[in-house]
Amino acid sequence: MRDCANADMRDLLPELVHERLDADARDRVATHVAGCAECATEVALLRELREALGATAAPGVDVSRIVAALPSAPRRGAGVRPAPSATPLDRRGWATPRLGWVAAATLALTVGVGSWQAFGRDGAPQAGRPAEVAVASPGAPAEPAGAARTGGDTPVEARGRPAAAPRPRAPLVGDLSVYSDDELAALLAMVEELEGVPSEETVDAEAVDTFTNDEEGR
Amino acid sequence: MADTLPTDVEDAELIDRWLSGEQAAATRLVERHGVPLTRYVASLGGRGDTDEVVQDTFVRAFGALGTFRGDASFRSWLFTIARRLLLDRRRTVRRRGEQVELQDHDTTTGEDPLAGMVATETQSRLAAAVGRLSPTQREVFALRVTEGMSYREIAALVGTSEGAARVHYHHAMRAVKEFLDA
Repeated sequence: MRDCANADMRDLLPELVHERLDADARDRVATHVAGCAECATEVALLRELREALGATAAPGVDVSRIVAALPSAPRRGAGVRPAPSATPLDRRGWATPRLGWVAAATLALTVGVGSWQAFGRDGAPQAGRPAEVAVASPGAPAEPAGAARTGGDTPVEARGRPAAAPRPRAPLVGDLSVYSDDELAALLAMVEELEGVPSEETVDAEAVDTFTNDEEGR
Repeated sequence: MADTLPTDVEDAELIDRWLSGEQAAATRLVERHGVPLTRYVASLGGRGDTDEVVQDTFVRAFGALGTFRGDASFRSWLFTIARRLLLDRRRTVRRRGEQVELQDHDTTTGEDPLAGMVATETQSRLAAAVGRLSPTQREVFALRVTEGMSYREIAALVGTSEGAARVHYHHAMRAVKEFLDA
């Protein structure tokens, strides 16, 4: 079996077999294959290989067994907090014991970074405000990349302010500042249910130099 | 079950629904990706522990689903988790002094990971041809042929560059053709 000299066209043959080409590309490749014996042979081979490898490698999947082993879905609309109280801290529920470690860790990080910012690497006092550290959140990073989204460009839009009766669903995208109190509460509820690996959220670049984190050490 | 390629949008919707509390969405995701994932794990030489690795992959994926960024497809993400799990298992086995399966220099051991599952003579020859590839070539080739993954997705999964993935694929295809022509 010989190879077609058109390497670019050969590269598209698996896409043709898997029907992943848009209409124009599909027509172009199909027209080429119709007139190229080498590519026609390779397409036939690819189909046979796909059949052979697909047929031989997967005897079956016990879906129910797998699903039974999965963690439970997050509570639907979980974490609607009581009405706002006097202090922002209370309203966001950070004072609750279950979130104590999150708050403590975040506060410690912020204070530590702030101290570093204030005193600099060499200990000399410096002007400036503390570095900002994003709060660890499971599915709502600072930038929309965390959203479950389509092919790569359009994030799922955050839900707007919920109606009074239904419990809000935790949004997956967007800057935290655009969230309503209910949506933030739902986000915090999701955090509560995590065993606590903070997300790889953005931190001030200078803070990374100071805090030896696991990624730097690998 | 027809293994049509799920769209990223459909996966994103199912993920969104599961994160909203709909347990049935998990079933749908496992149904969509279970067979390809099992196929992938088996192609990496996961024989006796394929089912365990597949289940473990889903468990870990759903445990971290809230942090799934969607930069790659959900299926690619599952494949990445599975690959790492399998490598970890192999390292553990190696520490115990037992035989390691995932080695790049292991080319012609005669052990075909797909052996025992072949249906027809043609499939047997094709499987044998693929079985003679190096583990990396086999993995790249299988991902391209059975899953239709792009070179970019394959490169991210296997831990190489797009160019290298393309070279591995074409070398593998050449080797398969030569074996079949012999």
